[in-house]
Amino acid sequence: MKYTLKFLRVQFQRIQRILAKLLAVSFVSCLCVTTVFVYFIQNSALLEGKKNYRVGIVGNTGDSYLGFGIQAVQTLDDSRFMVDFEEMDEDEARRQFIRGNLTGYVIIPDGLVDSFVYGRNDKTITYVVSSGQRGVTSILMEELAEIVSTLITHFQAAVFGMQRILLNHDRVEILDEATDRLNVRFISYVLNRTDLCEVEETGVSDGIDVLSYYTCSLFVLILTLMGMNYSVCLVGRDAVVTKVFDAKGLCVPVQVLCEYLAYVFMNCCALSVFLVLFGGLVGSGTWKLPEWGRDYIGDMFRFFLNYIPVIFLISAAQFLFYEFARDVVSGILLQFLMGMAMCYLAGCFYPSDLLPAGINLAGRFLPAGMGMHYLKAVVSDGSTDAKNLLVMVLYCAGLLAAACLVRTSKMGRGEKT
Amino acid sequence: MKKYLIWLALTQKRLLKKFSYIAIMLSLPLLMLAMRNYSAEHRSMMRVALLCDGTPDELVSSIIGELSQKKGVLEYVPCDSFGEAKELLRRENVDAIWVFPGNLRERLAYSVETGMIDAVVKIVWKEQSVALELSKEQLCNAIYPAFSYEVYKDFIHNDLLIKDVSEDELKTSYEEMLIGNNLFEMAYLDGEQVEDGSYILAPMRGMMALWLVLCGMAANLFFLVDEKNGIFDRLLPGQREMAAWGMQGCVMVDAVLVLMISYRMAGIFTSFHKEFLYLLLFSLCTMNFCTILRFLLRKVEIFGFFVPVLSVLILVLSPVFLKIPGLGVIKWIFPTYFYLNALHNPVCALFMLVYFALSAAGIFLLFRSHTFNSGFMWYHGN
Repeated sequence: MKYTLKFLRVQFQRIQRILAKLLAVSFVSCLCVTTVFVYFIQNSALLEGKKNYRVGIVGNTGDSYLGFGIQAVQTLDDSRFMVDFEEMDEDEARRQFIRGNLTGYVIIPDGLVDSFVYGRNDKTITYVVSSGQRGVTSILMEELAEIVSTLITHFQAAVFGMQRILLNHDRVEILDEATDRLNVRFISYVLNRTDLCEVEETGVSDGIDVLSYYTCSLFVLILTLMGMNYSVCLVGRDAVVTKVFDAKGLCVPVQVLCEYLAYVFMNCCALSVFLVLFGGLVGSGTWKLPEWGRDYIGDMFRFFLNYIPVIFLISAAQFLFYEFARDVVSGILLQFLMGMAMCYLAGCFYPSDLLPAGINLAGRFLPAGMGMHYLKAVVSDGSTDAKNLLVMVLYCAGLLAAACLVRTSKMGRGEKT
Repeated sequence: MKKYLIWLALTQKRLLKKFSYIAIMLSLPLLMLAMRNYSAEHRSMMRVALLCDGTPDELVSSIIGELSQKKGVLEYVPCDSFGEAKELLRRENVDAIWVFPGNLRERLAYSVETGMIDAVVKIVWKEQSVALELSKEQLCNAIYPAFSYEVYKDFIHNDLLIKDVSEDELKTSYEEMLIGNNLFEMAYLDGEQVEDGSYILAPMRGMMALWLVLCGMAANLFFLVDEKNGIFDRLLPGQREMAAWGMQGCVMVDAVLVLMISYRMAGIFTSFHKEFLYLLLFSLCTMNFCTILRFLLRKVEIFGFFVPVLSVLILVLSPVFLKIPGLGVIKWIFPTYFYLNALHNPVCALFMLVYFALSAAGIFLLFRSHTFNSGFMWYHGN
């Protein structure tokens, strides 16, 4: 017992040597991250899922049909609540698009309307979606483009079909008038197409607000990324040292437990800076979760308290990953790869509901996924879920047991730990 | 020079002897392959439950049948009862429910006849969002062809009063005029057509670019650890820099190779010469960026602590998941910003060259300043 406590004290003394630098760097890193996050929240309605996409329109829209059509869409159509259209020239559109001010822009070729009117459909509207890899937004805009295509092609089929019937039945004299009347009828139906459905909203019951969701994911992401900090301290020790301690009566599980506790303490110190910054933002009213009531400071401290089991769990996973690494390079890359994969599957980047069911299920069983699920439950219910907590404790114990096994096997092979 | 090349080969051997290093390098392409295979089957972002209130007519059966087979942003789940669908919604297994009436065609015809569009389909969802508004448009899109045909038929019969036209003639005239092709062409900024792909793989290039930057940082950390252990004590400052670059180069060569294989596995590989050239430029810019960091941060622990900070900043400021407007100059600090935008915007590739030149100049100045200070301190110490 005496040796165990001495060993534990030594681990904490090791941490003490780098603690000041760690806190300083944590402060800088958390300041950067929270500044960007706050900028993100304040400058974008994206987190509320109600962002209007800005799309540029390039080309000659002076034609009566097209200009009228665009104006009608901008003022009358329901899509004005989703998409803002702005007319501009191509250079301006490119500039704005590269800067990220436009989701995309549409190039209308000359003679497009004639191509539609005469049924040739030999000109296409080019929609510029990205300068790099296409993202989620461009995928959604593609769906919108398909919808518009369907509207136009069926509209055309009806008008031209009607004209053919008139020609076949020798009613050519009313062709123009009939075409105009049918056009007007269709335009009014197209603009009111969403009246074909009625919507019933049940309200958010089991889920949490998008801001709360991404707050939980930020807490998990920061904790996961912190794991990369300690590669230089935790990787590359000699297995001989482990053997010596083992010979002195400090078995591998005790060594692992003591080092793990020191590691958790290190993580907690690093994260404390983030929590202080977060607390400051909550106190100033900049960052408040909708699920929190009037006593939001109390809710925030309850959230912090419930964050501690998540720190223990993810730290155990990081500690296990370090057991596999042999050098600094492997340590950092392994922490990054495993951490990012865990966070992706756990739904830290995309809401887990958007991910396929299989990936969603896999993510739930990973430490980051379990942490996310736990924090989400804390936010939505406001209380600790004892069952989840117990599962997390057992999971943590399992990860540490795996770390012990890895270290024992490396000790047997005489490798570096 | 020969000694240097031998040293490079030995450094590469030193890295490749470590099983964990090889395992990490190999795991990336395998992960990408797994993601690609999975995303090929599952491309939807939202799930919608479909059901019919009553006995479905041929139109409802046809719509539900077609939608159930469709693979796209929306995935459709046929349900037998409203209770079942509501339970799926409550458990968030679906995002919305579409309830079709059994006599949909009759209801559409009636709407057209009276001239008043009647709400024929009921949508149930929890809370409005842009994505769900899009799903509403998809629903209208599913009904619209039938609705359009009813409007056309009603116009001919009741407006133009041509009663002696047969159903076959109406149908043939309509269908022959129906052009199936998409009127829109999706393109990138350089005019290349957009390929088909899943949203799951959308951020992969960005994540792998970040991974390459991390490889550069890890290589510099590797060098700093060796320097701290005194391995390069006998070398002159210039020679030490060559050693640092050599180490970085060894890691980057492996990383670039792994990335190209990973892009191929993920199905996001464009063309060999483009990927190779851009990755070469990007890796050179990354090496400069990491070298500047090494000069500025100097100590192993401090450098190690900054790795996650920079990772988060790169994730947010580079177009990995989203393109954030504003913060122009800050975004330009990271080579990932130019690389990810260069894929379909060759101007960004030129910017990478400019970045390389400017960062090389910065390294030269930092190196001279560092060697001057070290020499000054050594001289006065002795």
